[in-house]
Amino acid sequence: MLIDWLFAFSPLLLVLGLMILFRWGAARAGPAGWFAAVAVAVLRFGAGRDLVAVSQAKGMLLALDVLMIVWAAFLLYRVAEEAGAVKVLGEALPSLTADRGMQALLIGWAFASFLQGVGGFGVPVVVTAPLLMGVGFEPLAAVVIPSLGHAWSVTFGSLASSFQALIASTGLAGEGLAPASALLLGITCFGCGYMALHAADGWVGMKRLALPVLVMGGGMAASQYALATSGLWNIAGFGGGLAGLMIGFVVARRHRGNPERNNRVVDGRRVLLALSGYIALIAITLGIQLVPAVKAFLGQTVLEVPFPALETVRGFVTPAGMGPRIYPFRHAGAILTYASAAAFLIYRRVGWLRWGSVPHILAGTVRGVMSSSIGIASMVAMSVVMAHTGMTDVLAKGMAQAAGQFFPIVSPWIGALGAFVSGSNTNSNVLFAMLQLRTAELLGMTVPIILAGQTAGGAVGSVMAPTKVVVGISAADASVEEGRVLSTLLRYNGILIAAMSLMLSFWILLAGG
Amino acid sequence: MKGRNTGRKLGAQTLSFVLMMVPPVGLYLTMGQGQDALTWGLLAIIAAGMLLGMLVS
Repeated sequence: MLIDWLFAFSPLLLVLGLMILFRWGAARAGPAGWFAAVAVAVLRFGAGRDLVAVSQAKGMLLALDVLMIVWAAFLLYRVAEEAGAVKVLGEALPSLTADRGMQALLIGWAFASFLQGVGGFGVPVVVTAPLLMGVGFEPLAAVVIPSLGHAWSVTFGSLASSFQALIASTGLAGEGLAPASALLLGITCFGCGYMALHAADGWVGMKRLALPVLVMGGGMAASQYALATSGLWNIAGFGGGLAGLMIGFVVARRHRGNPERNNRVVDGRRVLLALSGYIALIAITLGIQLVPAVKAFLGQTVLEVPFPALETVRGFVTPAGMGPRIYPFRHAGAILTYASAAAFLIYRRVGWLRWGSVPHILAGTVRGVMSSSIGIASMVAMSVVMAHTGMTDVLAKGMAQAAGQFFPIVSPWIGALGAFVSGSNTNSNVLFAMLQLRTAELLGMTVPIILAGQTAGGAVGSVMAPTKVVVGISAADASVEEGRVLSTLLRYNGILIAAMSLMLSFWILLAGG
Repeated sequence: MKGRNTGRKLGAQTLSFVLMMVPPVGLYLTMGQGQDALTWGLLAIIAAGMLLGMLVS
């Protein structure tokens, strides 16, 4: 049993080792993990050629389901960035208040979360770190504050690509997974706010601005929860961030700080125009999700194919069943593409973009997503091979035996580890969601709660991934030592994940398993 | 020079991604038809795509 467990763990260990020890990116380590998984599957777990072939076909569909969102989310962000909309929003925010703590909350928490909602991929830190430095924060704080601030919105951010990965990897309905995940991440939102505030202004700031954190955090967490549990999870992180920004604008008026340090005037029309691309996204999403005729019309084309039962030489059986159901024209990726087109037309109408900007936007999008696409596609393929040959099952049984009833304590740390090494909550969910699901089933625990621990841990772990930290530092000030940023984030996020472990344990106790 | 290298890397990554994602369609379509050589060939193309992804990323 132990030998099997070690063999089953070896592809994951290889991916982790290559990323941690050799600093390989997900696009290099993912394919290496795939080779290891296929070799172990064939040589140790009795996978035949046809099993590997079918699992590749299934993996391709699962990867496509996630990648459509990743590509389109980045396209929308590129449209807004090319139009200068992100810059306009970034310049307007520091003008609202001169209070140091309030600036950290507005820029490093609410605005960073909003950016995570619409873009992700390291964008929140890249955009907000220079802004924080511009209003006087030290480079270390300028990187740490937004890294901490946006962690809670990673799962439902990037138009919920990480949550979509959780759905795709486990085969469970989003409606069943959303409440627990949104609740745990909502509670985490307050922790992120207080941590960002502590990094900016210490205990004094935390005491002074405790109420604004509660008010803004309440708005962000409630908005995200309401949207995610209404089936609108692809705009849940975005909606939460937007709510935080809007509440933050009002709250900042009561905490303006020293007015002599703040004499810039905000151009409301420009801010509204900058937001118009994202307002188009909300309108299109609501129009498609809430108008039955539109939803039915766009749902006429369905991509769903049956897969046969598979069996390894050792007798592990995967029953026959349907692959993921993809509606190409009302998929979150399609909705984002429509929103990108609408945003382009709006920005073009007001003269912020030209038709000639299109090639530049598209080229930037391809450059931005190709590396992560290879990482996601290879890790999904690896994960599917592992699931279909019983490797995931062996891992889960081993963990269930070792951790037993303490598994809820371990669950968020597994998610965080996966995200830390792979640089992404999405990759972590692809790698470990099935493992967590099987372990929860074996231990008789409520699966959505354990998966909430996986994805919430992954969200917090992803913001301290070395790849993201390096990107953040490069945008702020290259003189900041990566190790200092990493150790500071580890300290804060360690507390957050430990709190998650405790919450999850009590939650499982209350749920009766 | 740097731009050309970036372009080459992006091109190689795109090719790697296509090699990973397109052959599985063929694998699905030929599933259970006993076309052994074709199945092996498509699996080899996927492996080549993975290898290329490793080398150029």
